Amino acid sequence: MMADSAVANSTTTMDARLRVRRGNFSVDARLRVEHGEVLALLGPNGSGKSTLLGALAGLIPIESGVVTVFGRVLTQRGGGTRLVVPPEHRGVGLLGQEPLLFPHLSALDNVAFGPQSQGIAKVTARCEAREWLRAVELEGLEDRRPAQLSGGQQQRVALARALAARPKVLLLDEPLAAVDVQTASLLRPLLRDRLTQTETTTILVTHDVLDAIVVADRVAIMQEGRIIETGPTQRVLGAPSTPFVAALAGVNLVTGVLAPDGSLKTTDGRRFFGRTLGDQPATGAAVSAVFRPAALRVAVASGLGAEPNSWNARVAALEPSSGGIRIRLAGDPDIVAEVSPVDVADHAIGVGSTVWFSVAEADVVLRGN
Amino acid sequence: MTGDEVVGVSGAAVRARTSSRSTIPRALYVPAVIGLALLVLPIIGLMSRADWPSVPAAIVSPAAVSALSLSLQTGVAATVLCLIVGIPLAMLIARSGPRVAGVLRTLTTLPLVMPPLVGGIALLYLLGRNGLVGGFLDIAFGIRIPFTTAAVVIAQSFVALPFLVISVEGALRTAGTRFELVAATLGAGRWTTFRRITLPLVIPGLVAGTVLCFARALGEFGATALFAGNAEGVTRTMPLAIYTAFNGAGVSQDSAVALSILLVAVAIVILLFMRSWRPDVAR
Repeated sequence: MMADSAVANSTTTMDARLRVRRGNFSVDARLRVEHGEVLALLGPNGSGKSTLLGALAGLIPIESGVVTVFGRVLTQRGGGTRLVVPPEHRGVGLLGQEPLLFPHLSALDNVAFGPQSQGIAKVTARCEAREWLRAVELEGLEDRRPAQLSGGQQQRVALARALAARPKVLLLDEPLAAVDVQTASLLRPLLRDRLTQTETTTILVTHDVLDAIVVADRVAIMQEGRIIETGPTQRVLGAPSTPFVAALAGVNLVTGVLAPDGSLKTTDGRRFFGRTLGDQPATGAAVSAVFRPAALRVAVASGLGAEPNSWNARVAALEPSSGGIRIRLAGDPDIVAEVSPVDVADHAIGVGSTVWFSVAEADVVLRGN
Repeated sequence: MTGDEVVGVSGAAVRARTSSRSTIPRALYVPAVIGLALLVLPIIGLMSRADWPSVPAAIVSPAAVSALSLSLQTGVAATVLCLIVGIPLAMLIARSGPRVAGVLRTLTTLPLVMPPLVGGIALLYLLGRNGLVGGFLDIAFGIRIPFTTAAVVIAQSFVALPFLVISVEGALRTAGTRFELVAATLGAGRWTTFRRITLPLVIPGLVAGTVLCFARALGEFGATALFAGNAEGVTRTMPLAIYTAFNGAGVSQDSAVALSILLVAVAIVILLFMRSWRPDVAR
């Protein structure tokens, strides 16, 4: 479906095509990561991201498929072949939510562990480890035990340790999910810089769109065990094709078919006019309308029923947001509106009240799917 | 099971540090004190019976010195033997599936619930001159194990090994495999991971198990008496020397009491050593 499903070229580092079954849930994915590239794997909880990562790391057995790194087969199953290179010989690093630093080793020895295990002399390994700790801005804490470090510091050591082992591919499983928001915002650029500098080929599993925007070159969207979309971060988030991606990107997405008058018609009869992006879709084709939450206007009730670009809905929840107040709609969980507190007060909007919304034609983008 | 209690005791001791006394229901004090009395009063009884002026002489008597030195030597040898085979066995149990682990654990703890005397008989039928393996050893190599110092070490290992395996296995299970997995993704082979990650993580359990193992070897009587006999300087360890003195025709029982006090003193030294190695102290 995408440009990057072209034939693997010489810069391809990891190439995986695999199927994993866990109970009645299955992951069936194809992905390819280029040398030095950071691919973010985004998806809702339970979409199979971590399962996919576990399979790539060789920790979860696959049902069929093949995983290669630089052309070397790491996992293969199917057609009578069954091969799994054990984790210590894969050259695939793994860093999860928890730093899991070895509690009995100092920060320095934790970082030196990888190089040392790979046969590098202790003195050299410790010297390298010192450099890595400097690279993650932890100079002076070399001799601390993990218990004497804060959560953010521990995760930095874990990152340094993962990079020091010089993995051919680094798998990051929500590495910033367990640290607090402020620490995460400090670590994100650091992570980006270190990955870029070391040209580490990385797959980053996250459900935080900020991780993808700051750290990744490319995103792959995963849903129900499938990769439904992949492409450059900006393109995928800029033109979301599913409500999940739209929610990630902070925009609303309504799907329907193109009516003869050029509007989008939803299954419940609402109509949306907007600017058409890309090729003009044919009448009857599946199209989607995208608009920002702040583009929604709260309208005075009555008289709007038959108008396009407007509809009524019951308020499910009111939440504070940076742009005012965010309204979540009952029956339309993917759509949020952002309105000013004044509007909320003027129209006496509360949970359970029915509100009319409208969106200007100029604020809607129509796109063929 | 007795073995689980061994591990449970050290675990409870760790928790007791952090929990405050006031959380204990008052009703528990009475049985607790009775339990303590049951354990301590006999020792006091022993002390009260001692003829203290003659104790030093009894302790430095050639018979006592010989028995103590034999006990310490065989105890150390048995402990080393237990460490060499016990750590791998504990690892095997801890990393097996629940069914296999259950079977292995039952087999391991068998000597714990078996009277040591029975163990001695069993060893005799295995390694004795007419035994399953002993007969072969005798004919093929001229090796006769029973009634030698080696037999003492084997008998002590037989009864002491479960203590080591159970504590180390518990520690391994608690430590889990997460750190081992991390080590593997960093490129560490299985042996490196075992040596640099797995073993250091279970040091507290290993030390506790080693001390219990050594203490059990030191106190071993039944299996030794049957399988190794009671020859002075060869197989007469402290417990056997005490038994001999206690039953000795015409000899005062004072000497048995004095030797018992010596054994108790050695045991207390060992336990103090273990305290200083307690995991919560070490960290």
